[in-house]
Amino acid sequence: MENNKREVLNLKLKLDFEKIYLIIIFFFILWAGVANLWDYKINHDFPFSYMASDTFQHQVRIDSIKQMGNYRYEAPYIAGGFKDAIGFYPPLMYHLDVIMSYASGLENYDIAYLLTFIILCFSSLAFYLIIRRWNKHIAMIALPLSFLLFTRGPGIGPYALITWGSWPLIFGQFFLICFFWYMTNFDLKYSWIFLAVFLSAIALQHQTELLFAAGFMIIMGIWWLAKKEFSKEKIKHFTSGILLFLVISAYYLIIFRFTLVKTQVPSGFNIVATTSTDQTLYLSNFGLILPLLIIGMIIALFMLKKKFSTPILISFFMLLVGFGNYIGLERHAFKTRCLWPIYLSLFLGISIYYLLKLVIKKWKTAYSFAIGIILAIILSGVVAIPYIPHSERFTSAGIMNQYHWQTFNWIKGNTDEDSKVLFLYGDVYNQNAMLRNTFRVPYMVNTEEYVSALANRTINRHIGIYLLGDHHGVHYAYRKSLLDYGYHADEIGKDYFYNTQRDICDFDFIIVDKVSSQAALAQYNILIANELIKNDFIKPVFDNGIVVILENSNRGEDCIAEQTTF
Amino acid sequence: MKIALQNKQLFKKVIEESKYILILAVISIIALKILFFKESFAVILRLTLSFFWVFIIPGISVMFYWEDKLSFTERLIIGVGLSSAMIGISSYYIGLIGLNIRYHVFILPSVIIIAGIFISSRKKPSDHQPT
Repeated sequence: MENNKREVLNLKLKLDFEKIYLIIIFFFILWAGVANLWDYKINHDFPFSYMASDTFQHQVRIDSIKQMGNYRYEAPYIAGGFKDAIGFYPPLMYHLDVIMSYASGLENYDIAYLLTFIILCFSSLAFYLIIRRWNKHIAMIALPLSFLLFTRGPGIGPYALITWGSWPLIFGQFFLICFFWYMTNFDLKYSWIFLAVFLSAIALQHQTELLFAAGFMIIMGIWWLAKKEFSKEKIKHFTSGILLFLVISAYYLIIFRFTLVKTQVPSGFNIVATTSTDQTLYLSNFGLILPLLIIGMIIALFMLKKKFSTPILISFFMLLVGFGNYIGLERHAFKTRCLWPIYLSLFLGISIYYLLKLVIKKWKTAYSFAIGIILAIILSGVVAIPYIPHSERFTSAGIMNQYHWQTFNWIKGNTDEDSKVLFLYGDVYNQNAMLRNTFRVPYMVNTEEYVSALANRTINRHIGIYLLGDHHGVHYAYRKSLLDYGYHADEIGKDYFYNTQRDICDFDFIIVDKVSSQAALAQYNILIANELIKNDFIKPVFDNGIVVILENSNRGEDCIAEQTTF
Repeated sequence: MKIALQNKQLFKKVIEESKYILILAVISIIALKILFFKESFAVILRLTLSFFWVFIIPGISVMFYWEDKLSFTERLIIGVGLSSAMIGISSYYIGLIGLNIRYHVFILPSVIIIAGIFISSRKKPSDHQPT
């Protein structure tokens, strides 16, 4: 009796030990990823640490869904002014962000970013579970490799996956890991529901991972066929899951078929060895960790030969997917590599565990705990060791600043919905998705023409002005019927948006940046503004020292000579 | 009689796991306050509670059906995947039908939590067997 009690107590302590470890690592990863970056604050006055146009693309779309109440259509200020452009972008993450914004009271721009980090942490934990099902100690040792999700790398490292806005991919990968978890648990009763739900989530989030999931299922199917384990029950199970998945996803997949799929030209089987534009990770970036990973892979291969293991197969599968750039997967493969710190962590766990097992015969959870914490301290960069990569720690406000944010908000709150807004040159405006924060259809001067006019010492009334929006390869698609779509950009012609001389007098509001890293351009902006305010119908209505907004109360009226020299 | 006994056990288990969730919420609040030490307590409190409301509780409720097969930790982590998938997907479609997204924050987690508990309470003894 006494012995039994002791055993129960021991078991409880052991379980708690593991839980404590998971909690510590979870928050440690969150600290390494976001706390530093965000200056230890959650609430910010403007989109903070937004470092590329894509981040704003997501942020504005989340704002628009919150404003519209659903995602039937793209907001006009996202879709080049069209009011019937269909909501084409995978919607799942956006809806979660809006719901969490309502629940938490946080601004969309803060909660969307934070949720991406949290989901990434849960991805690590979900993969931990996959390994744990096979070996708890290896899982514990493997987990801290996730700190390398926040490395910058010699090129564009995995950290940029988040800071540059590949948020849908991160959510998609999370659901893919959940799908992998299901594949290690498919013998649970009714678990085909997991199959249906996780595949549907991927379909409504990031379809590339759907291909990976399908590929993995095919490999497993071939394995079962070879082993004669593909029973009737298994067929029934997978059929149920896939049918339910199709029912759930069909509506959105039709939209996907006529938008993102239709308008993207397949690249064929291009072989690309490196990238300078996509976030990625190379095996060499693992530094001194790489030999351990290779040892782990070799041991894993021997183990796989001896006895089938789904976790090992998953890790090798995702390693190969990362090399898919050699068979045409290009950016999808490069970006998937950013998740290698999760997928390859198994190999790190295997190598350390089995190497140490050579000297330690009776392994205890406390050892895994201690090794995990030491690895976490090293890989998080708290104690940096040469040639061992670690997560980067820096604080950055990103592209946005309070002055431009004030400007966008002023326009949003003080102008009519159909107002035409023109942005003259601004340093930050090349990441033009941010301009949609005005909630007005944004127009922006063609920088090349603008610079050329400055060089010629002229001010032109008609100049190349872009009509901006997220055509994103879908050409402002709109639906005629369930299976019949039209494309505004094709019907009107792309020149209308990106190659049209427009009249500077034909705008209700003109945004003038008074400060620039290129002083000449700022002075040119001011020069144009001074010419414009010579008219009594054009007046400055907002000025925060950095940006001035001019209001033209007589839009279309002559406001400047066709060409002025200075 | 059997069902009553089963429901009593279920209730006991729900209470027990509710305690775990409560402890986890408290730990999360403390940890987040340490991580984001420049942030106000009120913001962290609301953020934590909302995350538990939208992701943790609905997830673990649905996963409760497999409580005899999966550990609490496993159900909690995969539950986050399940609830985010279910809430994200249903929010998209319900929004298209016409229910404004502002109401989803109350409706969807509630429905999933209730459905999870209901399904678990209807679980037959034979359901304890794997396929």
